[in-house]
Amino acid sequence: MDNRFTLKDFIFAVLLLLIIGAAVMAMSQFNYVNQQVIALSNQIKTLNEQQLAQTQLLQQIVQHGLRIQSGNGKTPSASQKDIRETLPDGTRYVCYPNPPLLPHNPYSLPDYARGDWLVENLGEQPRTLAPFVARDEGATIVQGWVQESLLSRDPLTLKWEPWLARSYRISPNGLKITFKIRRRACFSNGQPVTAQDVLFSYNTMMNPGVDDAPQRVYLNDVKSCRAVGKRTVVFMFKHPYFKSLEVVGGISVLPESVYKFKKASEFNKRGRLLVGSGPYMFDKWTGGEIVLVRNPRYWGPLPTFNRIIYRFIQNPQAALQAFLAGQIDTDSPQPSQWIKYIKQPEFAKTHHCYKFLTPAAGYEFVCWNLKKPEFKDRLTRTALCMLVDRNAIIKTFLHGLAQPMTGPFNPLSPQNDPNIKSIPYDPAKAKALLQRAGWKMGPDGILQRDGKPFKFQILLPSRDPLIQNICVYMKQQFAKAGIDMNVQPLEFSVMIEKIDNRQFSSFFLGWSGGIESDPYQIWDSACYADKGSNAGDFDNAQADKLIAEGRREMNTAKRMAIWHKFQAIVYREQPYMFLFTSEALMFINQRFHNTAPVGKFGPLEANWFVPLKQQKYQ
Amino acid sequence: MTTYIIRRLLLMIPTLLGMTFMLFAVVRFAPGLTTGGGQFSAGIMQSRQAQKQEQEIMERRLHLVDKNGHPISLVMQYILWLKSTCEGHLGTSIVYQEPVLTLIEQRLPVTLTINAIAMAVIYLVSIPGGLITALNQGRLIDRGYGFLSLALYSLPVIWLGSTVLGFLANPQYFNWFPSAGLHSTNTGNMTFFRYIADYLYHIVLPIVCSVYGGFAFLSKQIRGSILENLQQDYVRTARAKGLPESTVLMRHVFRNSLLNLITLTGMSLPGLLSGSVIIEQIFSINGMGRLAYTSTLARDLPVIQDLALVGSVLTLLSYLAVDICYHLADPRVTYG
Repeated sequence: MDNRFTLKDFIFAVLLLLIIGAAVMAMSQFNYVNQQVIALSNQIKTLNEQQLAQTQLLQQIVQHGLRIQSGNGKTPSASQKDIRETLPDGTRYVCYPNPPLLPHNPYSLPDYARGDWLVENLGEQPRTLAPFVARDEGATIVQGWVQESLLSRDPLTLKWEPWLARSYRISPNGLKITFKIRRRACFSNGQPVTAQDVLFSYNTMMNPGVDDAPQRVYLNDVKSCRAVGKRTVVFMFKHPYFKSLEVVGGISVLPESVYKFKKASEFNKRGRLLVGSGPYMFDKWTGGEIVLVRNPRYWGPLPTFNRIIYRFIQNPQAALQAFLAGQIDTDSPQPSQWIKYIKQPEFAKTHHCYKFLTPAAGYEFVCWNLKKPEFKDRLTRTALCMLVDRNAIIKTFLHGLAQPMTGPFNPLSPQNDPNIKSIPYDPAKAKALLQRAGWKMGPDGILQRDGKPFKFQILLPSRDPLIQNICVYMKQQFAKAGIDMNVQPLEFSVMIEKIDNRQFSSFFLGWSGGIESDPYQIWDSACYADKGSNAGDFDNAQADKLIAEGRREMNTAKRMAIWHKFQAIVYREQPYMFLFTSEALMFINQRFHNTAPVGKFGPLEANWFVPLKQQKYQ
Repeated sequence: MTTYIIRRLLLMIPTLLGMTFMLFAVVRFAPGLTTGGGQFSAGIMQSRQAQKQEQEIMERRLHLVDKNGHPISLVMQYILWLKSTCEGHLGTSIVYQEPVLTLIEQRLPVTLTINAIAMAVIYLVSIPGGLITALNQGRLIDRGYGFLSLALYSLPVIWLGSTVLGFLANPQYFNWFPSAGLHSTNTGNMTFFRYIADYLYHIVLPIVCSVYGGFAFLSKQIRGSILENLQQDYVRTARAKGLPESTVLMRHVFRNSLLNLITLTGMSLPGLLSGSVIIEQIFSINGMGRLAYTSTLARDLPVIQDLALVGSVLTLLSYLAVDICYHLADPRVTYG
């Protein structure tokens, strides 16, 4: 065997060194070019900033004359008269010559400055950003900056106000809604927002091939949508429906020129195409973040931040640490994290910490299968509710960061009747009620009725330890009264299948909320059949009648009275054990100013700003 | 050899067919409904009409019903799926609304990079480790290394991951590493070298969690192999003819011991493409592991089926590659 280092080996080694050297030199050269590109892009950014400042100045001059520059602190919309009136024939007419500015808007504050980035955490990465098709909460947040609708909800009054629309008019019978679009509203590509774009957006939503079934069902009552001229859109409805204004006024308006498609599947698959008339433009979506940049052509007040970046940190511990390290600017902590950090005086001083309940928050509940003999009478259901101390659940498992529910409506929603009080925790009274309902203690310590023991199973999603802990607590409480509850955690998809097939006695789940929700889907007796959402078979003729009346009633005050009556029936019947609605928790980096919660919606990012000296990202 | 390769490739066809049948059966008979994106993330149910419409779309996409809405038999469903897969259409995800191939393209580079680096680190530590412990059999260094590597092997990754995250990426203890993601937010302003450094800085903790459990297995394999080779006749012959001990060890024993590595490396190749769900979850990395996990929970059948299929094909190809490499590395191995 020849072990000598030969000429051949030498040449090979030299060649290898040459290749390595060339690679290093190429990388250095690339690095140098990269530096030059960054320097150049920084110059372009500076130029853009200057251009933005000029655009802003021009906008102020054109829209409001010199009044803003004189610093009198009045909002632009105050300069022109807003109209909100009911005409003699019953037509409701609302006109805002200028889009309403958010309450507590920052523009007139002395240290207000544009610039800096807002870096937030979305948790889970959205599955798609395609309008109408995307359903995750994260996608909705991102879309909210880029796309706008004809109306927007006022955070103080919770009413729908004109936004892309300058005005809207509702006919006396509620069957016709006419929108007039603002003249200066335009998309980020510079094209004006027209009635044709609204029509295109509506038609896209109604296209059966477009994967937006959950949203499309809300438009089933729309008879037609017409574009009249360039800026007028008319929606006709089959029946009066209290959510008519919301469902059509809330449609995201898409630019037809960008989104037009031949096959619906094309539209579904454009998960990374996001264009609209909003204050920010979609820039990129990499594996780790979604980047939005300011829309320099925005038709409203120029937005504050240069960029908004959304990262995807699923682990709550990692998210909090990233927040503490300044890698993200906000965090929604877990209740246990909130309790731990809020107690530290230094932390509370150096961060903005907010907890608040929003009227759109959902609630947790236990649904009883009313077809099962053990749950058929309301005395038993009420007794079960009395056996569970919901205040103790909130205090122990949620660190007091939730509120008990008295019915299907959020405590902050006008739908909720504040006079209805939560069913008290009263085991003695519960036992008396169970006795009245015909339950007698058996020899094995389990209650019996008609020879059958009070034993049942509760289904719950296996991924949620909080729900599991609550169910174990409930099991102990029920056992004290002689009721045997078997806790059965299941994977979510398996659990839904069992609920759909009505193979359950009871289940623990949550409903998402709405400021004014339509009770039909969950509570109308017609929604039991065909795998409907009234899984427990709540069948009450009086409640059905009230739901039908409420859905047709266009007068808000009268409708709220109907919902209150409906809530009283649900309270009396107790088809669910209504548990709690959780409070939202938020930590915000100290460099952001004007972060105080606005109305009932909590802190609104559109109001935040960073004074020039504290800006972190240039 | 060529005949052997052709024969093996032909044999793969029935094996693959069997695999596809098993895959299809397991996925289709598993309990649970495809819950779609919104339901899964929010943990809520949808309205009745929406559910119905979604169900119809899904049934069409999964070949459960024909164009007229009539149900298709299970055997026909399997044939249709096989046909579209053979034509190169890997299916479209129900949850993500994107072709499975695109989903793999997005996530594979992330997983592949981390796994490749982790694998390199494991080999760089384990090979010298195995060699040194074999040469010092029974001594303190052998026992110490064995104990340490086994101790590391025994640590659950979920515990170690959470611990290093809680202590080494926490401003309240040691803020040495970032707690999540693979890049900083302002990478656009970074130069090339800075970008690479930023990336490496971000993957330190995930790599640590990926590698520590791998040392024990590989080191022990190499150690055992070296000890076995040291007792072979050819080693005695080499020493008898006066070769220096270093030459005996490095040229003969070590080289022959590495043959075992071919099998180990070949078997771990498919694993390169599948990420660790736990590590990706702890460090917020969007890789293949998370894709498989979320798709399974949401019953995203096209993604589950196609990921498993890709994994099966790669495993078969890896085994073939292992056999070929054996032949190339060791002339004693022949295939008739």
